[in-house]
Amino acid sequence: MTDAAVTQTSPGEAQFGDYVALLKPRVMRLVTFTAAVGLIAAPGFVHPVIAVAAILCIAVGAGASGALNMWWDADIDRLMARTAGRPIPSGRVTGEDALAVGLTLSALSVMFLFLFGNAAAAGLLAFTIFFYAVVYTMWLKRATPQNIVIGGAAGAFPPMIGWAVATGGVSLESLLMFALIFLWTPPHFWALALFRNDDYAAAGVPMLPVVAGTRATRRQILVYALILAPAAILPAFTGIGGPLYLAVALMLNAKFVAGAWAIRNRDDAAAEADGYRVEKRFFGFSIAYLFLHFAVILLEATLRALGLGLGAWPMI
Amino acid sequence: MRGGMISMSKGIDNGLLPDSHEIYGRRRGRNLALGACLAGVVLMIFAVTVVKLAEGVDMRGYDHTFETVPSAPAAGAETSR
Repeated sequence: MTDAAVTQTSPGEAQFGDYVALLKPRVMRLVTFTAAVGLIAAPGFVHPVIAVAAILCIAVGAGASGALNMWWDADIDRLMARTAGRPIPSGRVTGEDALAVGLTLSALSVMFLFLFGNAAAAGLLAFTIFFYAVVYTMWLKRATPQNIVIGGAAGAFPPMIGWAVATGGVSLESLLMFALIFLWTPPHFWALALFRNDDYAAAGVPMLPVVAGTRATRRQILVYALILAPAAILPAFTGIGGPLYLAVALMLNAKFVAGAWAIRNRDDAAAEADGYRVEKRFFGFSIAYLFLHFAVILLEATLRALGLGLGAWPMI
Repeated sequence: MRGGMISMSKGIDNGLLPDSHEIYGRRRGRNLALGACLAGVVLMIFAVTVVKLAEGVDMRGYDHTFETVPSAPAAGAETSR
């Protein structure tokens, strides 16, 4: 290697923040929160140090699958305004580096979760990484408009993993938390796709509005909102719910269905006239919707821990 | 060999010593952050180990879990005599 080779670096040389950006920190925040709620709401005591270490492993595992997603999707990320600034399309990180980061962190996160937690949690994390990086990113995303419907499972696993850290297994409560995120994902992303339609069309990603049209997408958002509502209310009558959860879930789901109904009753001309105001508001609310459901599960768990839970509450 | 030494001295004159070139300044932040992450991992493993030992978790490897000796009499053999 010559001196020149050692000293010449590109002006956009990767900084630590670029590698962090590979891990999709915003997604990691949601994963961390839902995994923590799953762990805290689960029966049994987990030492705080073990809990923090396990949640860190889950977050890093989710981030690693994000890096693998960016490595695979670099070609279409260049074509979309929303993703063109990511580390690989912007040239700050090479695809090979992203692949190395993704594979290394995937292996380390699963291994450490096995050592810190248990085999069930580590197995679920490994499956989540595989599901997001291979099933969703490589198989589904460019092949079918149902990509979001099936791929949403990857984002739904973290509370199940948190629950498995505490209990060593799966139960009705953890499956309901999974269902909540799984059924929430399609209306959330389809609302985004309605006002980002051109982006996906340019990249050739067969999102529902691109393939089936916006009319069908608006109808599907309402259908999923109606399926989601009972699934989101049901946890109220399990070990993770209670009267507080029921009240909040009823309110949030009424608002969610009303928003979906408003989207269903609009057409593209009306949406373009007001700059997709209703769709954007629904998309923003959907984030708060999911956050508040998990926040109230956390609150119910805290009340139970303080001995303030309602003893006579009906449970399935 | 002699030529190499001359080249090195030129490098010193031009400020190309490994620890003085500006490339190391640019990479300093990245290296420090990576070092902090590695230190965090070490601390996390140490803390988890302390907690697991304090909780009395069996941390022995799989090959030390069952302490059977092939030549030893089977369990309960003495009591049956």
